[in-house]
Amino acid sequence: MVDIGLRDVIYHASPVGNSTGPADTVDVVYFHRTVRCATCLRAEEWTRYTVETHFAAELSSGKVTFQSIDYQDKGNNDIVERYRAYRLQLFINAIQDGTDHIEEATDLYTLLHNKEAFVTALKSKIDERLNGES
Amino acid sequence: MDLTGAMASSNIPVVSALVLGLMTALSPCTLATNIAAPGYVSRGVTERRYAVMTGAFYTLGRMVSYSAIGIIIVAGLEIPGVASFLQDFGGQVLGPLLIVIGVLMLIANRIPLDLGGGRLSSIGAKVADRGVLGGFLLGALFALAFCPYGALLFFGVLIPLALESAAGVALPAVYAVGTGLPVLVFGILLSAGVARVSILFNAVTRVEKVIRIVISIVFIGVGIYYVVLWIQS
Repeated sequence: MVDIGLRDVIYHASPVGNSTGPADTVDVVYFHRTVRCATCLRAEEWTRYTVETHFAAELSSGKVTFQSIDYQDKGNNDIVERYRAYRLQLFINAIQDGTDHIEEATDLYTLLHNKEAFVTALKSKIDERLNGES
Repeated sequence: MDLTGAMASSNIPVVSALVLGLMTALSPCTLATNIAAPGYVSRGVTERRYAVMTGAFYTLGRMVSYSAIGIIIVAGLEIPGVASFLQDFGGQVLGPLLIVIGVLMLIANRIPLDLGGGRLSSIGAKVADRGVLGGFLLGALFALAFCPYGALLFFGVLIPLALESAAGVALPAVYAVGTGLPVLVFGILLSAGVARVSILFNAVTRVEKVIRIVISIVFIGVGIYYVVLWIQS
């Protein structure tokens, strides 16, 4: 009895169409509340670590970007709307020809107590988008 | 992948829900309520059964709250609105309430009846004594105070899982058992430990009084913590 609207709110940023080819750029965007909690800080730190360690070249060329956004800050309304963020969330956006392919990295959420597993999983996600395997 | 992560994303939704609950309860951001709850559960020094009952009703309270949120979501209420209300609940509702409850319990011990504190003090005594009902209400309220990580696991992982699973309706309740389990275990251990010590020193009445004061102060402290966090945001 679950309608599409409800699913859409839950997977509210599921890709508009599955990207098949390699992405032009991969934006990794992390949303958090104004007041941070320990796990929220850890999620950001590990995400930043993954991007900076494994995608240093792509980061400096702009092929991969990382942003940490306070979704409660009214100044960030544009990007919050774009990702429809409303809580602690990690998104991976594979942009092709200027079109967003946004996916929430929900399967990483249960790995926030294990840095190695988190970093490995995030790295392979970004790799997939860069190589167009998804 | 490590065991916990594997279990949380296991193919058996009930197992995943339970592990997600445990992950929520054991994360640092739910620590505040997890300090207050076992203390409350362990109050009844003289009766061992009392701690078990209070702890069980505390978990039941959580089951009711999480199930209610699940029903509200399926009924079609906007999830972002629900999520942000629940993340502010700790500071806006639970914090002030804990301060009031803590003060009332403290007054019940301190103010002599003839000083006009009779009425307040009898309310405080009631709050402190209604163990089983108190445990239930505490569980129901504490469950509503979502911390950001709890909101992530509940809305980001558990609810999507529940919507896809045949056992969906039951999953928020199973998740609640996971969040209540540590409180139940620590509450009972604490109670057993305190009971043993107080019986050893033949000071049950005095110990119960001290515990009540400590719990009052913990409640007030946790309440202030929530309110301060909320004001900061």
